[in-house]
Amino acid sequence: MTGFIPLNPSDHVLLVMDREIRREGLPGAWCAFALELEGQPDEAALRSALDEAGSVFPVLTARLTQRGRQFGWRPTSLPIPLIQNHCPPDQDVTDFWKSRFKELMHGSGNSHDEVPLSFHCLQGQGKCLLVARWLHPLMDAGGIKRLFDFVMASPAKRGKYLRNDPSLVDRKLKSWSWKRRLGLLWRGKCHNDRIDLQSSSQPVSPGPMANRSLETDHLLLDAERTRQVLSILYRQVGISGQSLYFIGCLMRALEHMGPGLKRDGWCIPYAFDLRPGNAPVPVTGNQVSVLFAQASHEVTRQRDLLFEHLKRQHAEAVRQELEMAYLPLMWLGRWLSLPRYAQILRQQKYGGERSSAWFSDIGEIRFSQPDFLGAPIKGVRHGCFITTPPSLAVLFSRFAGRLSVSINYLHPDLSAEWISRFQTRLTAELLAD
Amino acid sequence: MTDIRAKLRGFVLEELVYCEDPDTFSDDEDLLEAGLDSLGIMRLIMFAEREFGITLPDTEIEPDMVRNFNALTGWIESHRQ
Repeated sequence: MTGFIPLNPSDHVLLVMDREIRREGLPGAWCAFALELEGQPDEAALRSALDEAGSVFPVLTARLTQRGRQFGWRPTSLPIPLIQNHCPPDQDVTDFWKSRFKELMHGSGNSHDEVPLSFHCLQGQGKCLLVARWLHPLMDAGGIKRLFDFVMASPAKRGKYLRNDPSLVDRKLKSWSWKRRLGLLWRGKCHNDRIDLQSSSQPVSPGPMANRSLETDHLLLDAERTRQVLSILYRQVGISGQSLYFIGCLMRALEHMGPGLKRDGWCIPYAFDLRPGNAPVPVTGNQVSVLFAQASHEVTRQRDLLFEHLKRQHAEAVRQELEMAYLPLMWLGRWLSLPRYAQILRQQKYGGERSSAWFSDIGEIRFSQPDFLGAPIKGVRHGCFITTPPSLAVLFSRFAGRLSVSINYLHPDLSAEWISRFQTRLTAELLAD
Repeated sequence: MTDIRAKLRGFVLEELVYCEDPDTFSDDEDLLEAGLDSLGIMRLIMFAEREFGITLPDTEIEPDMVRNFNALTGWIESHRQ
């Protein structure tokens, strides 16, 4: 077992974000992927599967460490924690889940001592919310989904995960000549300069550092309304633009709410997964590059024009291979100090925050089995911490034919009342025909 | 036609869709079921435009055109003629 596993360039971006979140007095870049289960999963089987996962993917048991300027993981022989929590008899299980979920997202200490991955069974009234909580530099949401698949698979079927778990970011970079690397790097830098010609509005104008906390809300559409959304989505943006539809609806909902800090328009970064579809590996590490969707307020107000604009922008970005151009930029960023890199990642040239909101489209989640170690899976939820600004992260996914939108926000920058109106508007945009 | 198909197979099975043994992935197997997603379709179209010097109009991008390698090859071939 190697004593030091370096972060890949994409992990390093998330480390920078972790430090930025901590600098703002918050616990760090914690993420959660939760399964809503009917009944309880087999605890012994879960413990055994997590132990096997820890031995197959040593980074899952590791602690964050630094060697010179380089950050990485130091594997330990400690087990991945599995913690049982029981709902008090006098509490509603949904309230219990919500409050415990919030506590989990806020519980942390120094990032170098922290356990970067833990599992929590929140049990009550014949149900269980199984929460995987991890520090974002460790892996992405696609990796956690694959880890759930690993745990759910019978030991004989875990073979397909038992191969090397190499970073696709590093592999891509190594496969390119220096000339190509530098060419892409220059293209990425020019693109960043162009992005900054439009200064980004923010949903909120955060006040001075206050006692902020992460709050979560969940919008779940039933199967019929999800079918409606997909049918409208297909008509509006076609089969190649699913994520763009959600981004457009998010922009229009923000536009309707009115920016708290008004600049030229909205800017939403979106991740581009380097894994081929349905690939069982890599499980660990962040395997993503990034693209940006931008639209002025004027364009955002015209629905058809907005979607046309987003499609054209995305096609042009892919035509120029910009999804790859950020890899050499991220590679270069590792040589900067964390605060300097953070400034480049977050700040536009005029000084404002580049991202108007954090966004993710995890897509359709299909597990290898309908139940998790004996407990049928009824739903999924996602959570993540965000920087201030933009203080808002909206995470889309589909599970069992239902569209799920996890809304994560920082209070008091945004209030529950604001989020409630935002949810109503977002639903209306998703279903607008 | 064979050349187009081979290049498409190479790109899709290396970059966009996972298959444990790419040689066993047949030309009429469903790519969407195999994991080709919306961002992947856009990359595939841009690859085809670059590689074969054609333009594939947005209005023609339907699931049936990218459903499998047979359909995809036929669609691209029709634009080369």
